[in-house]
Amino acid sequence: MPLKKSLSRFYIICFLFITLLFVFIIRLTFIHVFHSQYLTKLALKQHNIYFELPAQRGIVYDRKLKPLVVNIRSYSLFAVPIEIEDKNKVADILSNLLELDKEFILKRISSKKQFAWLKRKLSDRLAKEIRELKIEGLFFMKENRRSYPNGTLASHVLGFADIDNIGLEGIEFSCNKYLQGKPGYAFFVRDAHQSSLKLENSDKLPLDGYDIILTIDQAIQYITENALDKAFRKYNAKSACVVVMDPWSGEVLALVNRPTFDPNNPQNFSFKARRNRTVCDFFEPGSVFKVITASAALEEKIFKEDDKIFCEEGAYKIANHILHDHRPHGWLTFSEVVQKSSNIGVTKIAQKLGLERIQKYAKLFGFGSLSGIELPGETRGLLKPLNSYSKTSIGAVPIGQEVGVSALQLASATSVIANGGLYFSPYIIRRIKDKHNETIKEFRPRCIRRVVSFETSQRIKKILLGVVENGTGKLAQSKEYKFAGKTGTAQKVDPKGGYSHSKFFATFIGFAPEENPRLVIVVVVDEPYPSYYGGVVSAPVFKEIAEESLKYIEAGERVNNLTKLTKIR
Amino acid sequence: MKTPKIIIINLICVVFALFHVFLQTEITKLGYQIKKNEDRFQELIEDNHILKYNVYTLESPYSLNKYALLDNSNLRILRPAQVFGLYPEFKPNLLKEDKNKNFLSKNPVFIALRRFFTGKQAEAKTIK
Repeated sequence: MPLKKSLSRFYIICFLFITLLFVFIIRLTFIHVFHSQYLTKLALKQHNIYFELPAQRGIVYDRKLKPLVVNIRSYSLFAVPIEIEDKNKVADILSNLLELDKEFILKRISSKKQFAWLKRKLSDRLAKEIRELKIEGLFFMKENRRSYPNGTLASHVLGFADIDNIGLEGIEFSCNKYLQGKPGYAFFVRDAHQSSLKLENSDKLPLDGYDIILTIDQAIQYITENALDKAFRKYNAKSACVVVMDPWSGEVLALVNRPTFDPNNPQNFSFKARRNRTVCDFFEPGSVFKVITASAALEEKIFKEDDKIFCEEGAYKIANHILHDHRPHGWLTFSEVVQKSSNIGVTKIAQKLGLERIQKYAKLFGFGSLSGIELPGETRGLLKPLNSYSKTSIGAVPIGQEVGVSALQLASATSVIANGGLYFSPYIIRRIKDKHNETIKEFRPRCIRRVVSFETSQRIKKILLGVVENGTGKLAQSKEYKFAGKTGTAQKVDPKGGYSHSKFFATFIGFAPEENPRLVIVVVVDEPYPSYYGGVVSAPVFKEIAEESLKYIEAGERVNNLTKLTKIR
Repeated sequence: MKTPKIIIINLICVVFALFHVFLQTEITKLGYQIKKNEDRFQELIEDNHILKYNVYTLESPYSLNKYALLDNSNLRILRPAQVFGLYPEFKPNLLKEDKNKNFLSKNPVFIALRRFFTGKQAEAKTIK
């Protein structure tokens, strides 16, 4: 009996085990057949992490390969709000360190989200300081920050990039597609301690952005900025800009605007300070446009340098208007008309020439059209259609009124006179290269057309030399070099109508040295005060830039020659 | 006494299994070491970038000019602690127009006086 009893117990236990096994089998089948996909995904999500490997944005160099824009490491601070215990205290500490509003931080770390940015792209020092506090729930993410080691130098050329490293202004914007690169990715396996481990090489490496080599020369840019700064402050100008160009290629060597901004902190500066006026703004050039009229007259063989023109003793009637000179002149030669900047003399030249031909030459000199420079927001300027001119336009257009030009267009036009009559399209990028120094794109001088003959350009050169030696541009004279140029003092258009009598553009265009020009310089100062003449305000800026830059170029050449000689020996 | 074959086979299997586990552990350990070294290498490269950036900043023309001026003048840059502010911080706003300038530049008497005293130059002038 007891055996029978124990046998029945054995069967019951066996039955229970078999039932349990059966339940397990059903459960396992259920997990493996119906839940397998979901659970595999969950496991993979827990173990595998996918990292985006950001591409390094390209570096921007000057023509001598000095870096103007680089990338450096920075740390972005974020919070996991549920992990922070004393939120009020943390907000208090962080508001002091990050210089942010306490309420803002408190709102961020009190949210129910899993992730909240607190501040991005902190410096190494600040990140270290916060890390040392060992606050629970605060984490850092490594990011690249765009940095400009020269601060404000060439800021309008370089522009700046936003927090996500996307270009917003200047070269950073216009060449974003070259600079940006393509991000890659990497897979890691994560263990229970959240340490990541790379088990196999399944990465797709990021494709770094291309580097850009500009035509800008850091030293000439600095010389130009220094010289313009002095005039900008001295004459309390509203704004000012300078373009320095190589007349034989159209390469922009320096491009300066005032007021300026620091691309490391662009948010601290106004829109006005960030505006690239040399390229984006146009203005009535005033007397500097007389060079175009004079070139047209000589090219068309209507006048010779010695031809006499009667300047009506300072008052000349055109249609129903009377045109004035600042100083009454009687008989002047053609050269003297330009050198003394007689409005009446130039108008008389223009009357013989006709507006049609002036318009034609203005277009040939590059006015009224885009130059194609690789900077954003370039203006065409203003060159009205011929049929929209009035009867008085013949006394306005030849002396630089009723036309709008940009400083860059003026520089290209001046280059035509300096280089013997050829129009070169201006450019600011020399080369785009990858990290292995392979050229991706190369920019070369582009001679677009012949504007005037070599002979005409030489004749105009001599007249412009006279402007500096005997005319209105005496303050541009140098003891060491011979410079040629033309002054301009243009009244600004009054928004109420007509021209302002208190607001002017003081301009100087010129090239240096006169015999074999190496630099073309255009200086434009907007609303200088108290003095407002181009010959007083802008000519000394031209002189300083030209003298210093030529010395720098010559010194560089001497060093190069010495190096070559040493190599030969 | 002869050891049964099945035990020997089992033992060999266990040894191989243990060796496999040992290898896997070593691979994982090595993986961690490699990751650590790679991170360190990356960090050093980034430190190098920061140091280079500092050099570029020091070599920038503005900095060089400042140091050249200091060398030539035997002056030194003041530390913030050496500066005493006697007035509230003044930030000149270059963009803001000078009120005085505006008033004077609109004043016809001032314009007339300025024209009278300032030397004249032949430049473009409006057609009247």
